[in-house]
Amino acid sequence: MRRILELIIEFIETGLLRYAVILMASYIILGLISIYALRNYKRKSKHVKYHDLLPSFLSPSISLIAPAYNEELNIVDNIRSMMSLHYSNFEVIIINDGSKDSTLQKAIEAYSMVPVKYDYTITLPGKRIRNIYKSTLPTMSNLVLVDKENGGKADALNQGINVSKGKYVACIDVDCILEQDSLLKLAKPFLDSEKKVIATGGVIRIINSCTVENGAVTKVTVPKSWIARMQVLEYLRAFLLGRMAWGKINGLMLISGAFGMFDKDILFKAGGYLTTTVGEDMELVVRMSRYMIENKQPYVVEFIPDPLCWTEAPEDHKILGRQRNRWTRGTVETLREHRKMFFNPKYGVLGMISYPYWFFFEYLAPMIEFGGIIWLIVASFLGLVNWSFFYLVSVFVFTFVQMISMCAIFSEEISYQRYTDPKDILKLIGSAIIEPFVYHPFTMYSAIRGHIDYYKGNHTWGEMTRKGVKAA
Amino acid sequence: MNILLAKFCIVLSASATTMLVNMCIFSSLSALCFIGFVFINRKYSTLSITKDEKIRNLTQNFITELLFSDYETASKIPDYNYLFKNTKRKQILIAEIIKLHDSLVGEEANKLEAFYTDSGLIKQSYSKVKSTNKDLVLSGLGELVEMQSHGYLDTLETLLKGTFDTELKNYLVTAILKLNPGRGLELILNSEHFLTDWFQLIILKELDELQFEDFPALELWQAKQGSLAVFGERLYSYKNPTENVFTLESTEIIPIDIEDTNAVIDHSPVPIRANSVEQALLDIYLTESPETQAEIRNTLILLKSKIKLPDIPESQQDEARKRLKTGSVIQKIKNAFKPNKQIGLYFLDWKNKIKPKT
Repeated sequence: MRRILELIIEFIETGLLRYAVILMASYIILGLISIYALRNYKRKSKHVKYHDLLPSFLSPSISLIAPAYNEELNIVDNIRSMMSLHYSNFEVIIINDGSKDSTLQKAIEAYSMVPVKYDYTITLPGKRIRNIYKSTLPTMSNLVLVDKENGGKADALNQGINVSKGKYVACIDVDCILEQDSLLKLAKPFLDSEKKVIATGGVIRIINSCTVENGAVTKVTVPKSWIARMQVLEYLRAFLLGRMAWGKINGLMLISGAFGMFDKDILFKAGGYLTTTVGEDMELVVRMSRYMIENKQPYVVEFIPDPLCWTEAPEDHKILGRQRNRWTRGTVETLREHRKMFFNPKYGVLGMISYPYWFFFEYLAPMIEFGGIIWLIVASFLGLVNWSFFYLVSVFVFTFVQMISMCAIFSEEISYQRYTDPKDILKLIGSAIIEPFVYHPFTMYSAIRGHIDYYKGNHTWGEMTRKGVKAA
Repeated sequence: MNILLAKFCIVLSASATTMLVNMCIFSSLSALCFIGFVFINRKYSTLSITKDEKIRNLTQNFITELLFSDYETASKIPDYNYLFKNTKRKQILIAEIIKLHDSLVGEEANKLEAFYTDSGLIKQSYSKVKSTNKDLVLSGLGELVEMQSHGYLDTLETLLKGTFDTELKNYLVTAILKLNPGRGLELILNSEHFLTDWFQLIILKELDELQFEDFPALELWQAKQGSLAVFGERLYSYKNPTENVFTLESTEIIPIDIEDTNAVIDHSPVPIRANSVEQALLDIYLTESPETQAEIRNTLILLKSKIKLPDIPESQQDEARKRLKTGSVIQKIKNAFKPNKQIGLYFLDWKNKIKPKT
């Protein structure tokens, strides 16, 4: 009996150790690839004259699609921000997804919009469109407002794509603020690649405590709220160290729903957004990639490190918890939907590296981590813990996490230096030190709740209230 | 090799505790190094910016003097030698000149160009172009082009022929075209490298700005494949919309059988992305104005197409059908097709090969 117990203990301990070693090794490898890719991108983009094409009538047509649900407080400003982007050939399509407040009326009044007969084809599934409005203001001729029955974000995006006329579609969250030249920067990979680019995404940054003037971010500071501040660090790690590397090896499975651009033709062929998932952004990228692979067409999903989009991070732990719960459910839904790809060599990097990585280190991670804590408690009761070794391992994990966080700050420094005040860097370092003790356990807890909710059959989006950004 | 192997064995046999301690030290030091670099970089950047700012101010004073007098007078200012003392200062001087040149035309621009050549700054740009560092080459290229240094065209052409780097080829060919559009187009036509859409659009914009229209003949582009064929089509579509490639008469289009036209598409000498005429029309339909959409809809009726177009009220269709005569449909379709040369080429092909005019 004792022998069996010892074997079980050994199995669990070596299993956890191997898992941790592989996870840490993958972080180091991804970090190295990212730094290389980042430097390469910066070198290349130094010689690109974006302004040559920004005002050109030759630039490809882009439809900017923004679903809005109960956004009466910010809708007018948000539309103005989108309409002021520097690009010559784009349309803005706002989808009022059956808002219960006065989102529609506010937009109609502010931009003198009138209902029009509008030609479009229902190619992608979506709830009924009630009416389409266009602005009578000459300067707003490229603004389209679609009023439809409520069907959720993916449903609204599908209808927006149906109505769109651009060659490329950029899907964004209506409350995001885009950099002025973001459209051309995101469109460039489509135009400047020998391989077919099917989707592009850029870095999303946290706007909390930043200053916004005329719909543009003018002063960047680290948020005052600790919760938001830790998300800054988390986003830096995720975008500059994670996605940059996945993009480099063409294994990107997620382009943030906050801002991504897609080739409309491939998007149609792949079937548009899946309306039954809360992780529609990840699901779409995986499905488009699968479509290309299954049809034997070489493709690229490109990630660019430019900070193109600013979004408000939750400062309330309840809202943050709901957000992470939803992200986890979205991941689980996507991985289950595309489980055929798991270690399937037919899907190349996506099937052999990206999917397994997401499965083991995103899908299973919260549960393994939680299991590890339970095991520690049980083992300590059984007197099986070598405490001096445990403390040493804990110190190592802590220093390793610090190394990764500092590497993310370093990547920001060698790329864009958006946090100009040295005090901001000190604040980020402070957040990095506290994060493993406070923030990380909470996000892990929310992810576990997400797993439980998924298996309970919860497919709701969850209420996401926002405070709004500080205008100058 | 044996030493390395022995060291590896020692590491493996070391106790887990020692290894962990080593890894802790490694990750702590790495974290400190990263953050140390951030602060050193900040400090260095601040110092560097202050120093550069001083040189920049002197440069601006010098350039002002140059623009309002002449090179002789300007070269007598006390800081002249200071500005030319080392490569870094010269580089700042070049950057400032280029920035200003970009916003100037006429005599002032010519003055700057003359100064750039006479003062020897051009040699610095040239040495960058001759460098093996791609970054420097691209930087030097930009400077030579901005300052209209036509004397280096041969060098650029030699570089173009000697490189296998597609990106560099694209930059070189664009630079040559900016200096001499005719020669640039010839080089593009005779090259075999992949010209990305991005560079195609930049070149078209450049030609548009220069109002250059002496292009190699359309047939020469049609004989090419891949990105060059597409570029040729774009060149003629965007730059010469009046080109007489749509020579169909109204009577010719009416009897088109949809199966015949699809067969033409299949055998077309130019790449046609759409699978059929109907698909091509539908592709355009989705991106055109409501007026043009009405024309396309009616053309599809003339073609007896069964393709399903976006729904519009039946009454509106009837009205449109009554209103539009065949001749005007053709004319408007021609206009609608301006951006899509492929369709135009298709019609040309159809006319010349399938149903020759007798």
